Amino acid sequence: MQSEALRIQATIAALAAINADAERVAAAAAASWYEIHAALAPVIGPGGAAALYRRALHLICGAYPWLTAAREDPLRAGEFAALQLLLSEQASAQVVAANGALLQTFYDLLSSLVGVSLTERLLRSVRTDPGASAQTDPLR
Amino acid sequence: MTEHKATIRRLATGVPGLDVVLGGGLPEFSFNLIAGPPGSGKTTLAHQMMFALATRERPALYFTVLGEPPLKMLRYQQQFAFFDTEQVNSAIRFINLADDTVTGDLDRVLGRIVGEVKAYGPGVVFVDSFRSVMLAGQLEGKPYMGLQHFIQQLGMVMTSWQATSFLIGEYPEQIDSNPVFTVADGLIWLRQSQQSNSVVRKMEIMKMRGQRTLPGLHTFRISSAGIQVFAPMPDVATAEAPAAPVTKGRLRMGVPELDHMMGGGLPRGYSLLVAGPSGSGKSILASAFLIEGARAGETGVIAAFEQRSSVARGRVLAELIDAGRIGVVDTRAPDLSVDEIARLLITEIQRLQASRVVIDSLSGFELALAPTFRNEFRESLARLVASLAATGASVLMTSELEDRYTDLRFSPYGTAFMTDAIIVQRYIELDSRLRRILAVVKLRASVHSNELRLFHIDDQGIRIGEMVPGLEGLLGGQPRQQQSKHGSGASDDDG
Repeated sequence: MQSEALRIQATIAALAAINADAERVAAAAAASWYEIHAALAPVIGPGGAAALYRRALHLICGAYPWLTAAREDPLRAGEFAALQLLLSEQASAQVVAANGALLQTFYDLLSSLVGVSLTERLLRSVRTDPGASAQTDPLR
Repeated sequence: MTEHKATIRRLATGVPGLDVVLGGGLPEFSFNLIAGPPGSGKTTLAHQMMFALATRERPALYFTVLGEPPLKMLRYQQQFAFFDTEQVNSAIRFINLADDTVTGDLDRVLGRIVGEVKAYGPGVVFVDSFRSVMLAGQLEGKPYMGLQHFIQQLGMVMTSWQATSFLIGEYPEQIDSNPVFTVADGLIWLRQSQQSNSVVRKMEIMKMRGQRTLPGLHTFRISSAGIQVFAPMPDVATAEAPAAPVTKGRLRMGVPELDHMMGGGLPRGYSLLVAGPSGSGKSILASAFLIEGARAGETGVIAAFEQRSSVARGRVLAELIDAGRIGVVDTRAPDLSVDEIARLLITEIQRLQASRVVIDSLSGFELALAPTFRNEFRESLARLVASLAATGASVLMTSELEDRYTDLRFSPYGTAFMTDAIIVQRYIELDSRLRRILAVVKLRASVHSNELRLFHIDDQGIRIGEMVPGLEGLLGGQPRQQQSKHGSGASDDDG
């Protein structure tokens, strides 16, 4: 995983590491997706950002079949409630793994289209909410 | 205060050649349109200017409206060398307006643009593509007034917020009917002209308030470095300072006897046309001209359109090219324009402070041009000769000329009048052999020989021999013994 994706995923992993419950980890994951969407939508359009997210979700559904329902979710672009709900029903370790895979796939997809350097540049403005994490993000 | 009038700063666009065409750069705070059909390079032009103009203090805003998906735009634009990803989200901000545009509510689009302009205080603003804004406005059922109002508002807001702005889009060709064109300060139109299989990109500055732009269509190329515009060659009046100091005197041709025939050589700064049939030795004379220059410590430039390999140019010339004493202009690009070659030649002449230039040959040059430029080859060539003359260098051009024994012609383009000097080579039949003759036809303001001289070519180059005494009708290709002082009826059965 490249640095910006790592940084985002680290917040979520940090929560799981202090035994936060799945609900909290799922909330942090959804929050990070809102942030990612907010960073990308002005640049590539809300539709573009949502399309990439759906494609990433589709690609990891084979490994995480329990996420399939989120893929079918007809919610508006930039809404991640369905993802949060499905994540919160899993064990927190599973949440971290699934979100990591989703983030990685999303990252790969974006960088295959606009290159690693622009992808890194765009994701740099994604804020990782320190409030969602019990400890300070070591990579910030 | 001593100066009461507003001063308009001119911004450097970062696009080679564009500032010249614009008449000195882009007027600051102007409101411009970049128009043209799909694929004509509008978005590329906009990006190239944006990366050059944006700074952290005065960033650039790039609004994407419905049209090319921004993901694809970023994917393709980043292939250009000017695309610096580090500037994205600092000096350059992309803002997608798709959601605001689909509503068709132009007030909302305007409001959004104004809001972002207030938030970032940009120095440059782009709206791409504008056609979709127009279409969105039409969807609402209030096409023109709404749109005109929108554009006027936009132009006013941009200027009062001290931003230089651009609307990018495909516009209908009828200029007068479109309100957009009245409001804009500048209008940059990109086109592609197609003839046979060749497509040439052209740019026209149809309007630029407050400055003298260069009129006409200017060719440009898009390479990995971005857009390069080939501004027309400077007029003699406004020409850049001569590269080589203009001194009196004559240049030796590298063929001693020829110098003698020319009254001491080619006067400096002259242009010379060497015309003759295929294989008569024009390129050899051109090489001798350059090599002689190098021997005298001068530098030269060659644009060779025929003999491609350096081997074919001859060993001595190849060595001089390798040593950097003679510059070579790359003539292999497809669909060339005369302006492009002129720009390359002049750049090379100035770089090397060259005093001798060779174009070998005009026939090959014409073939290398995109078909669309061939019609006006003669006019462009006249400008080329004039602008090369303005550099102070002496120019030798060769021209393929099929032997026609019924008439005496010097060039197929009517180029004879353009040059200061003309040397003609011809084949004649003599004693069952094909022999070559040569004559100095014209040498402006100088005495020169009027002799028709035999010559041959050996390892040392061109060797000029005797006149052919006792024969006449040499130019007809079939010399006869002179019968009397004036051959009676010689012209009747002539060829």
